[in-house]
Amino acid sequence: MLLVEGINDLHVVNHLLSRHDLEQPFSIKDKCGFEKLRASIHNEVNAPGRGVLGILADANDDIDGRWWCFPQFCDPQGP
Amino acid sequence: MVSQLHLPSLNVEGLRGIRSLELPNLGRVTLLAGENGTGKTTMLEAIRIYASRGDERSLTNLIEAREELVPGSDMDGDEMLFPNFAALFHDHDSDDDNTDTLNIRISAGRGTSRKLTLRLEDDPKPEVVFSEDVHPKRVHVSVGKRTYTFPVGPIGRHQRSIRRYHLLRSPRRRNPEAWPEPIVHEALGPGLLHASDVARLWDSIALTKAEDFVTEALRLVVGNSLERLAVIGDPTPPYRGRGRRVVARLDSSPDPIPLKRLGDGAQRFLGMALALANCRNGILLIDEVENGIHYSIQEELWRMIFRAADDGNVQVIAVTHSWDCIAGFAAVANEEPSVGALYRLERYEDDLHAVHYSEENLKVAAQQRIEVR
Repeated sequence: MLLVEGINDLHVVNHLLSRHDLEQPFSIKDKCGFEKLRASIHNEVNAPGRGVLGILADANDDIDGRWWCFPQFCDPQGP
Repeated sequence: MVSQLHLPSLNVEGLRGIRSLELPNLGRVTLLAGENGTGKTTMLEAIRIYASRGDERSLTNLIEAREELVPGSDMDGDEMLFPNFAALFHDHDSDDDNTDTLNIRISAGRGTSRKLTLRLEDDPKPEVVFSEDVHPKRVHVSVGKRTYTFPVGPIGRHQRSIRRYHLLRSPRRRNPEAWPEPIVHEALGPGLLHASDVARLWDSIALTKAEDFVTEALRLVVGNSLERLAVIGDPTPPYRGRGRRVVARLDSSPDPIPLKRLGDGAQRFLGMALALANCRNGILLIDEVENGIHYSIQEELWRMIFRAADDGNVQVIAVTHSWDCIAGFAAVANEEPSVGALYRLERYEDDLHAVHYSEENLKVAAQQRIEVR
């Protein structure tokens, strides 16, 4: 599962995959904005049967701020 | 003022299929979800054991409810079925009578008084030995620093009197003040309550304010045409067990009608409302809470439960498999002041794991329809 911020990002990923003749072995979910994406991370990480979760988010002008809102959801021991 | 919960947290070790499982933050109302075989019903059983303070009769009821019985013969040689106490213990082998000591540990927060242990062990000084093939066992119960033991296994008339002797001389009976009081609790299974249980619960609230609450709760299903309820019938033979039944008066009918005619949903609501009213300052456990309830009134159900739990200082722990039930729970948990929490129990290889969802997580899950079951 790949979470993206909006419909544009979803199309970018789809076009990249098709341009390079790659199959899409995962689904992409448009979260309709960064705040909704961030609010859903706990639930998406813990969805039943979820093995891998990817997140595509714009850093915009605040690289540190965007980056450091994710580690709290990660298992410090790693997968 | 927020009253302290009987179960601010729950840690269970060694009970049935649970090697170890912790629920660190229970709410006033807590919902347990998860696939079959992940220990949801066993967690409810753990709470019943804890609330009854390891009472022998309660343990026997849990064993008999799952028909975990072993054949044997009593002192007189008569064939009988006996409750298999070993079935409560993790990693037991009911065919092997030489099992080592087994332990169940249940903790509900900090402090030794909130810890209960059951130990199944060989009886070092059996009063009666049936044969060399049968190793007499006993269960050792401790709550905090207080303990008592009772023999288990095939027992005949002779040993029953020994058991009574054991119980009478136990610190629990000799000094009842020293043994902690059981916590008031009711446990609703996935099916409908037996008529005798409905009658028992009704009798304790008849003509009190709680009766109004129960009637009001039932109107959520039946509608405002419901005027009042009553339990009628004769419990004495030849009607014993079938004699007493709930009847309802509807404004559309000149005669009372049996509640059963109003459907499973009405009976289920009545059971939950009655149990809530009977659990003031205690604990209510509900297995498969969604059973018989139409999806469109799941929110009404949870609103009723949250408010009654708050008013009566009841802690509610329920089990569900239904998304509609979780969505209704999430909506109400976010609007009511009492704290709601959801745990999904999942099996990972041989171990169980609990995923906690706060009210905020539940709100997001409901809004974005993210699977949590």
